Amino acid sequence: MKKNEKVILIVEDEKPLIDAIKDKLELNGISSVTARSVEQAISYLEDVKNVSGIWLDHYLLGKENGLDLLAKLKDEKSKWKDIPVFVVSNTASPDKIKSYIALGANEYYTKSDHKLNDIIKDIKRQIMLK
Amino acid sequence: MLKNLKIGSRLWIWIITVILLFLFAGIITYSRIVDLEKEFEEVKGESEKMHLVMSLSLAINKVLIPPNSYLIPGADPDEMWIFIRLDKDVEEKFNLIEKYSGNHPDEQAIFKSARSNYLKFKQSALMIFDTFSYEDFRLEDTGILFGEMEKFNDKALLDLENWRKFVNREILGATEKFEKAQQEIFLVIIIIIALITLISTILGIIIIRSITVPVKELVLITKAIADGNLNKRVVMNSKDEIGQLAISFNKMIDEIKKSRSDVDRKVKQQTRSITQQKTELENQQKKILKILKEVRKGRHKADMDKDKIDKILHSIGDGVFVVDSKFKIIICNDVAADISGFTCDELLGKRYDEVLKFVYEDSGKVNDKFMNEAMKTGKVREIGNHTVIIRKDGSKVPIADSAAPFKDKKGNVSGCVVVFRDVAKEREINRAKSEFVSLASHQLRTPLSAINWYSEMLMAGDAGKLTKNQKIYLNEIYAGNQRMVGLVNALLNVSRIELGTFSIEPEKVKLAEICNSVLKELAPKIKEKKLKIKKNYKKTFPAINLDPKLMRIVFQNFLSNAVKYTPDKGKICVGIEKKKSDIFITISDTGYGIPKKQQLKVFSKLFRADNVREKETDGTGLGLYIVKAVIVQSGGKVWFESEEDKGTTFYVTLPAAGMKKKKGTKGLTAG
Repeated sequence: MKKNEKVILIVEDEKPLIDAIKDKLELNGISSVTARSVEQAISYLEDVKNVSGIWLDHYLLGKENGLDLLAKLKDEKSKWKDIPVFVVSNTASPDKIKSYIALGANEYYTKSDHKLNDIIKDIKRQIMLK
Repeated sequence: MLKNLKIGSRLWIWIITVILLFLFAGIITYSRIVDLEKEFEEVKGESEKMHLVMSLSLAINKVLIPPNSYLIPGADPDEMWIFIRLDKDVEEKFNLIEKYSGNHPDEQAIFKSARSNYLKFKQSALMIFDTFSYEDFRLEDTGILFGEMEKFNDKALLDLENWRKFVNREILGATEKFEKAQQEIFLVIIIIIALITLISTILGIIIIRSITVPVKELVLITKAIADGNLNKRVVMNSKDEIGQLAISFNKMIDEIKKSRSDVDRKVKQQTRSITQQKTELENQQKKILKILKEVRKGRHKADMDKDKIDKILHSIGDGVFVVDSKFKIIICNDVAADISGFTCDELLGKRYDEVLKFVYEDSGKVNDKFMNEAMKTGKVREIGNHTVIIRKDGSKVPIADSAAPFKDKKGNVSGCVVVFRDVAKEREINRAKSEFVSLASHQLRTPLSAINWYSEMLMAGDAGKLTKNQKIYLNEIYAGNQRMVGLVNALLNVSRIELGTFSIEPEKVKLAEICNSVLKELAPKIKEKKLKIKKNYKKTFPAINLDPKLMRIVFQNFLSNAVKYTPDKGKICVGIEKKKSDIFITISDTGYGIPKKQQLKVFSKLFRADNVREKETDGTGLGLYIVKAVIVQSGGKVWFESEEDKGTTFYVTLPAAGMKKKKGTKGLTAG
């Protein structure tokens, strides 16, 4: 991988969606790694050092969900607390949104409300700023 | 006559008589005794006399001796002195006897003779002594003297003897007299005693009888009267106490008789009236018995009804309790007891808030608002949302329902019926339902998202350039998918509305902004149909406390409907204004309108009027249902006017105070 290449960690449990996101990111010049559960996500973060951003769905495989991961990420002692997190989920409950924002998510997108392109463009813009 | 004296007087008479008799007896006896004494004295006197006579005799005898002693030669010259002495003694005795001599002539004669004889003796004796005193005396001369002397001495002695006999006779006589007198006295005393006894007894009997007989009579008659014979009267003619008693008694009986007859009369009167009353009472009693029977019947029925009601009460699935005007629990059922953890007995009679603790779930503060308001206003009140009841053991049970006050005849609130149920399960179910809906919607949306994005990418040419037809087909796929997304969102909203789980989060919202934003979204379609939009609102319309998402849904629905159902070149007007305490929103179009027959169903789920179904297939049929629910929940109203092929105007009012925050699990999703 190139040094300046941006890597997004996609944390999403739906396979078809993962592929779509991955492809779109690549079209935008961003590479990605995928995790389908919190556990997987953490292990990837351990391995891959230069994650520029995280695409996070709420419902995941395993017992833990997106909020749990976010909490872990934004923990004081976490190495990854500065990595921007973009929550993209189908659940639109205001409570959940509030929780994600409160925990420190940068953005929250409801999948069905946005075009994939728009979301990706937004993410790209944000991680490029860093 | 005796009977007219007072009893006391009679008794006094008797006593005095007896005393007098005794006095009289005493006097007589005394006189007799005096006589007796006299006789006795006489006897004694005579005896004395006798004694004196005897002693005189002795003395005279003795006095002879000294002179006689001179007969003997060598006589003592002292004899003369002895003789003088003895003589003196005789003289003394004679003097003594003289006193006793008495008046009897015989006795006097004897005495005189005795004395003279003695004197003569004495003379002789003295002559003797005289003679002897001479020296030359001759004894032969004295012989005559001696003889004289003796003779007179004997004569004196004989007199004395006679006297003695006389006295003896006297004594005998006196003794006889004395004895006679003695006997007399004895007799007299006996007679007197007998007389006294007789008289006093007779008098006593008379007097006593004069008392007892009338008294007995009185007693008899009074007894007879007391026994009841009021016609008898005491007949007593005497003027004494008994007579007066009798008179008074008779008077008394008269009085009694009179009053008795009065009483009898009165009693007869009363008895008559009592009998009257008695028959009346009997009649009343009969009536009362009848009534009692009815009452008993009624009570029995009431008891049966009560049992029925009790059964019903206890078989009601919800907790029911009734309080009186003082908030004390007067009725409660088993379910209420179960939910609260107390027994019905523990609840009855106590103020409801002492045992049934209704508190707000979040604050823990007591919720007595529902009860107080119900009792005060006389209207049904809901037990506030999110109220729990603290059971006897301290655990909390979420409950819901209402308090319905009831009024007495005067229209005053006299109590309240509270019905409540354990909603924990309900809540659980609701939660599960909404979780299910959430999950379901998520599951539905996921494939939709996939289709969305892949279609998007294809259309963007990310997988290669497309042919014209490919583009068209993809558009259809994309459009179809969008509709699906819209439908899923609408269904989600509907389910949230149905479950009551949607939230209202008011914030200061500028309606003008939302409206403009929605119009902007619809701009392509508006342009395509060449529709005219008129904005009757100011940009500066003040911000109101509303949930922006919900307001967006409202505007989206009305405006997209207006755009959809208005033919090309039509006109759409939007108005927002404030009228008094309401916000007025008007959305009118010159569209197809709603047929009168179907106007009632407009707000119902999945309804689409016939006249538009042919023309436009797009649309979920849920929009207006959702809009109405939102507006109503926000405290507003929504209605419309429409004429087929002319147009439709929708009116919305919302309280200017804004929406009240409503806690819900989710907000509604905008389409």
